[in-house]
Amino acid sequence: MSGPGPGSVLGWIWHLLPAVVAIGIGGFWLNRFFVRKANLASLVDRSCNSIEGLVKKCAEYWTSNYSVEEATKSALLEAEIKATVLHINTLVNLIAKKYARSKITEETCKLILDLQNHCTGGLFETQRRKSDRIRMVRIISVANKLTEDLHMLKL
Amino acid sequence: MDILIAKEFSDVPWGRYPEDGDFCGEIFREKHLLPALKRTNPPERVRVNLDGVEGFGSSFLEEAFGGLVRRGFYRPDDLRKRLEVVASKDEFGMYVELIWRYVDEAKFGSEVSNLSTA
Repeated sequence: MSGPGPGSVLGWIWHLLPAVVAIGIGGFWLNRFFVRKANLASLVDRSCNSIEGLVKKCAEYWTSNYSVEEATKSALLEAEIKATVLHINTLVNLIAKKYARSKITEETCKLILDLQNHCTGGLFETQRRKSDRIRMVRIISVANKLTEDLHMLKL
Repeated sequence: MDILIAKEFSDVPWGRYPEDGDFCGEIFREKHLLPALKRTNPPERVRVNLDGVEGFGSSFLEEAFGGLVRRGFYRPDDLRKRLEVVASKDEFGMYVELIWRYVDEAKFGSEVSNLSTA
């Protein structure tokens, strides 16, 4: 099939059409690529902020013994710590599902399990709770490793 | 046999020992999980459903499930034949994995049971 003749306006449009379509499709994919990158970066940042917040809450919780006077405050911290770990897990699941399934490694998943284990294990939510600095060191270490793993996704 | 924790026990399970409240890991194990397991013969399995719960502390999970091994009720391989843990939400998969980690890491009979074995 041949297009309109070379001298007419339609002829110009006909010859430009492949370039316009190529630019349109290329632009769409380029835009999609950068929007996805930006969304991924935003989710990673939110996850890292949550991890940072979690470490602060744990530092407050795990550096004091249980006391009746502070029971309400402890209960609030316990609820926040449990909810924050679940939130981080939800965000990482979302990142895996939408943006980087192949990049979320088994090691990253293990770090989330370790985070939940260290933050809410042992004498968490018990009246026998004692200040536990070793646990706090483990929490900080796992949190840092998880933050590094997540930042790698942005590269 | 199914146990839906949120409906049959609490949607906010809390703590490890009875002194921590009525919805702690030890009470769940002794009053719900253990009786159900004792009534079940493999290949039939008790299916514990985690859906509907606000979230779990690892202390609760370790006491409820790891405690079955530590207190000498079941060995890990025996427990796998009798127990199934399910959750429909992806996010709760973390809890399922942790439960089996606690079961596998617990030392069989390391704590002599002085609790009801009913």
